[in-house]
Amino acid sequence: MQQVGPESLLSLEAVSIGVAGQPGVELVHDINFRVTRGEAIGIVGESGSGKSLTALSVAGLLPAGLSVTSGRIVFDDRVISEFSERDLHRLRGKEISYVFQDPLAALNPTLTIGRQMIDVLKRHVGGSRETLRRRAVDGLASVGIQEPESRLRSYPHQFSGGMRQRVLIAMATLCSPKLLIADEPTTALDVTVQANIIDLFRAIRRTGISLIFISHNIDVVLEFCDRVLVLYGGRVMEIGTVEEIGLRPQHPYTRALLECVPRLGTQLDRLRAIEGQPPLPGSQPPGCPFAQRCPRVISRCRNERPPASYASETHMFECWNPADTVLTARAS
Amino acid sequence: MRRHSSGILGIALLASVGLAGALAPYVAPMDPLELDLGSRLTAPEAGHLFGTDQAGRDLLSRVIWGSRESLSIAFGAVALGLAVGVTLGLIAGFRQGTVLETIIMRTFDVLFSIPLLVLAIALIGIIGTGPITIGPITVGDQAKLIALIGLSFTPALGRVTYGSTLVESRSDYVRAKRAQGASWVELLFLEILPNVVPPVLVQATLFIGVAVIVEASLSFVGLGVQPPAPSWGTMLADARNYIFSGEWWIALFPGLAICITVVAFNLMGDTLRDLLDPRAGIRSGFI
Repeated sequence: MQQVGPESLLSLEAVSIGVAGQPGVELVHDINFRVTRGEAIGIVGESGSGKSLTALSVAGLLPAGLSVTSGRIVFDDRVISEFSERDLHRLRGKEISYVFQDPLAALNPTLTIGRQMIDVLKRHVGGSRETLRRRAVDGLASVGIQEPESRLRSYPHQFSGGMRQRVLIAMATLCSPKLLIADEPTTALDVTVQANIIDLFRAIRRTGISLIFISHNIDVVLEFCDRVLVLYGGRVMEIGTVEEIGLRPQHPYTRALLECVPRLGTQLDRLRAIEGQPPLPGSQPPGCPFAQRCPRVISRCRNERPPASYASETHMFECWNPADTVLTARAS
Repeated sequence: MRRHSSGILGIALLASVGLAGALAPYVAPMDPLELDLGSRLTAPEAGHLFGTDQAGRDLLSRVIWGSRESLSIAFGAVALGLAVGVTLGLIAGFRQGTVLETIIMRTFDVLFSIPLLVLAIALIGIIGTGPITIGPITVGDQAKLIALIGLSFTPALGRVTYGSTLVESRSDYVRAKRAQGASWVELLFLEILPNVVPPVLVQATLFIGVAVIVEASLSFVGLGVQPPAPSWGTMLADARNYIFSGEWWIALFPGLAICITVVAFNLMGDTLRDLLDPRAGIRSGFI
């Protein structure tokens, strides 16, 4: 409870996600973090690190069979991890919105864009058909869709991938949510479109909406978030401000992630990859989950879980043998 | 256009049969029930294009009125089967792994395991022919046949829906709509339903043809539409005694009507399937 300050919008308190009815099979372990109002937090990690599950758990959207097995989620001073499905209906799309990875699949192919947008408004806002239609038009215009008026009558297949992602972002922001959760929103798009979509997220940030932005590309997150959360094997490895994570990463895993991304101006013969495979979801090694692949591994790492250490008030990491040299090669 | 020619033929045939039925009072040259014992068993001639039956009734008029009876029962039965089957299939597919799913699907299995005609005959055997009165409502032969045939179509239509719903309910757009706050009723009927309709529609079209045959069969054995009402099945039953004595027209025309109607529905169903099946490549042209 002491974590919930007045400015805190969302906080995950010791949240674990596991298979319902099978105690001991956990996919996400003991996650703690919070998002303050207006803040953008990035979550990075490889596939299977628990990024998406963590994000889905916030509004009770975990896939069938999985559930939050311990801990609690507090949103806007309400314990939403204890909400009924009915209460969650009112929350989803109105106060907490999602944008998913694949814009090609996230729109119903048989309904017009206008109908799908108006459905969201009808559900959460209400009002005359004309008011709702106007709001949908404004929504499309706000994400930079040309001729929004006539586009309302188009079907999803008449839009390109980037446009569809814009439409989905428009739908997610229609009801002015307090929190927008974007789960790899740019991964399925090509690079130039990616940049446009990220500009769109920057614009959304300026409207005061808090943002959780999930990506496996740490550079994308460093570009426009305030803080970064690094997940591995369903655990928080490191959390800190963009400067702390980008310039003074403590955890070897964070370093490895930074080295995976090619940069302009650096001569490289080969891009560095992280050796080995991430641990199987559900397996719980006694020590640090990254120990098997870590270049700085010491014997302790394999047997004992590293405790939370702090490089600053805002910079937490879990590592026995942190690398504390400052990275200077990075251009901001 | 050429690749759909069989479908267009089907629609044209159906339109003529349907129109004839709908406009029966205007297009039938005579009253289908009017007896004219003076001209019994008349072969086709100018006054009676299809000839007359053993009671001197005009066969052309009876075939036209019969299409009204047959088609309304067939359409009614399939509509009922669709309403019940699609709803249950949607729910079972969406609530996968629940007791509800088990109850619905196992009920379908039981109904499915009984041959359609046997089921129909057994049920009619229980409730009997002729109108029955329950309180203020009188259930006629037609309504009874619709309920019966409709019920027997329910499992097949429900299963087709169930299969597509299983696939659709795992799709990304359903997840996205859930994240937008849609309740499960909204997800099922506003989002998933339009996506599962195409295969069910094809099945339903083919079933209308089947319904025509079932209705005719039941009427033929005396369990469906009761004489003297004109139905293709009862007309065939009447004709039974005259096939070998040379009065071929009494059996031919109602038989031909059944045949043409069923073929027309099948042609239409096949074309519909080609149009709606994305693998057929026609739809993918503009996606």
